[in-house]
Amino acid sequence: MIIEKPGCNSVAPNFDEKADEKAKEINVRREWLRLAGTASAGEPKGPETKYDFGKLHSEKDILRLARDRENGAVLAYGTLASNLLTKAVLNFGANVLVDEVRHRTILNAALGIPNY
Amino acid sequence: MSMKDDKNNPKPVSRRQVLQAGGLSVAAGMMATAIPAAAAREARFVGDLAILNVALGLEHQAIAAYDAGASSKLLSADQLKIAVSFQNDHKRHRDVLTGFVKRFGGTPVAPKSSYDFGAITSAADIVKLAQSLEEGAEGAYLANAGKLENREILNAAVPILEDEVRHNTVFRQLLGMNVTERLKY
Repeated sequence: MIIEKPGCNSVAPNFDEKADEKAKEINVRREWLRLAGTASAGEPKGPETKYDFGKLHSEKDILRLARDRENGAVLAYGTLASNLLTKAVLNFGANVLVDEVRHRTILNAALGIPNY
Repeated sequence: MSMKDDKNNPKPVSRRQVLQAGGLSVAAGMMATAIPAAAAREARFVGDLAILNVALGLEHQAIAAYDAGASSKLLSADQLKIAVSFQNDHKRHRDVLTGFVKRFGGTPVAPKSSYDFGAITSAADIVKLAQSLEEGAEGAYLANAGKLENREILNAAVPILEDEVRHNTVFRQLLGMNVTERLKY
């Protein structure tokens, strides 16, 4: 396990991010399938068979990778929110956005990136 | 499926709709004149205006709370830095919300002459107060985001929601509260 230092231990072992992300994936899938019955929607996008996250040498590399992913998600949800026409999907997206911002804030703190 | 909508390019609002929504009394001689654009916008986005004004009230309250915290002299230099930064965010939110309310023909709610924040005797009291207000604001923006009809207002509300979540998370961390589980609203 690369994440060992106290500063990161305070975040990583208790961090429920993985569970949040899994729940989100399930909810996005469910919502997509629900909409597919009433509107023209494609198939839910599955995960890629492999992801290239580059070389992870240290706990900081991992935290930075996670932080950058969360930051990308914040930007994506934040930018696209007003394009969502279905209220239920918009509400769902807003809830996901809240999670993404919370994750990014925690990871910023762990990395020493100011949150203010 | 088109991702575009026409909410920001509304169809012309009928005179009847404007009168019904705004409760306006128009003299017969004025009936032939064009309906003011602001009134038409207000009629269409009356629900948004109500939400904006509630949000504006929360922003006024937050600004006052940070004023109370800063003037107490109880905060450390680092805590004060956070408080000032977050208060600036709320001032920006206030200005954005006020701009929208005016633009859509409403009257922006004014700050109260005084706020009762209870007894503040320590820095912890201030942080707890701020955290509580930020969490309330987070919940309010989240609950109302999906109710906004105007896409431009929604676009402005999203970064405000992001700020509230960030503020709340920072304070929860400062207070040693759980930040690893999603909040229940």
